[in-house]
Amino acid sequence: MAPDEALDPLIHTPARLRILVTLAALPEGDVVSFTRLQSLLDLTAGNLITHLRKLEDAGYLSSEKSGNGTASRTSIALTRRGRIALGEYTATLRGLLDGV
Amino acid sequence: MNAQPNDHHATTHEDYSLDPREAAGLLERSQREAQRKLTSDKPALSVFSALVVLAVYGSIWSSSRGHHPYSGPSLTVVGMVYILVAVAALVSMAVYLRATAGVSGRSRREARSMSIPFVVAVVGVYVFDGALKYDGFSPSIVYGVFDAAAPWLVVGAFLAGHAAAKEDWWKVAGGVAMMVVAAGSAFAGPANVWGVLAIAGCLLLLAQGVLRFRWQQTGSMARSTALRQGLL
Repeated sequence: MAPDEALDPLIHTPARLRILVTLAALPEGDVVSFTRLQSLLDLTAGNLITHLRKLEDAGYLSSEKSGNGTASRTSIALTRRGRIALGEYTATLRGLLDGV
Repeated sequence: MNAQPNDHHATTHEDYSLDPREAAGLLERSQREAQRKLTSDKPALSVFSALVVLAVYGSIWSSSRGHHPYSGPSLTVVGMVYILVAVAALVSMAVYLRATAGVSGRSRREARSMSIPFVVAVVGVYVFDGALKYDGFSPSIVYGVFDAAAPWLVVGAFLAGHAAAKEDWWKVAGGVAMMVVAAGSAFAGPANVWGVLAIAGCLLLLAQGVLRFRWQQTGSMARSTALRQGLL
């Protein structure tokens, strides 16, 4: 097994790593709007939504839509599972680099 | 999500795997960047606040020193102080709103509920001030020692208490330092108390700015947050 195969493949891509790290920077219990997250990460809406779906399917984040039409707002938050997964990813990464 | 349906099939050009070293670098950069963009604790704001405190307290000291008996600052200086305080409050509010744009949840609710006792405490200082005047205390107490030091005691106690609940020990130290400086400055007398607080307050805020800058540069703020969250 290659060393980096121990890393969660769902997190181990630039965009999804940045998404999780950015969401983890929010205090627990806070959510961020889709548009703010997009501006923080400087990703296209399509790109961001694709990655968010993958992370949401894995239970790493949750999204909630409120309002209708142009006033609709999607809020995204890191779940407890996502926080743990990022913690494990960081610990594994540290272990890999310490072993180099 | 807010995106259009055809966006779902967008190319995910960033969907490639990373080298572990690259991943570690990206992780640290992303943490630092997220902290910088999502926090209103900015070094420049500390420096700006330091200059405002120096200007406000320094101008009152300059206007009232050498009074025998002490009569307080001139009305022109009081007017200028109100304008400076209003500008500082607006700038701080703008920085806070920019940092927290699009963010909602527990921390925003906490901030809103905290603002109520904070405003009551600060207004209470000035109501108490009126009561002192009404009870016949001299201008050296009412417009000197009390007016200068009491807001620092109240704000310092409030900040230290709030920070202690969050186990943010640097902010606890800052709040305690404010209270110590306020209590000590009262011994300088009704005019000089303003001068002491102008210098001490400016230095405290500059120290805060330096710390915030160092944390931003080294990423230790990001690391300490990550540690609290069990990420590192």
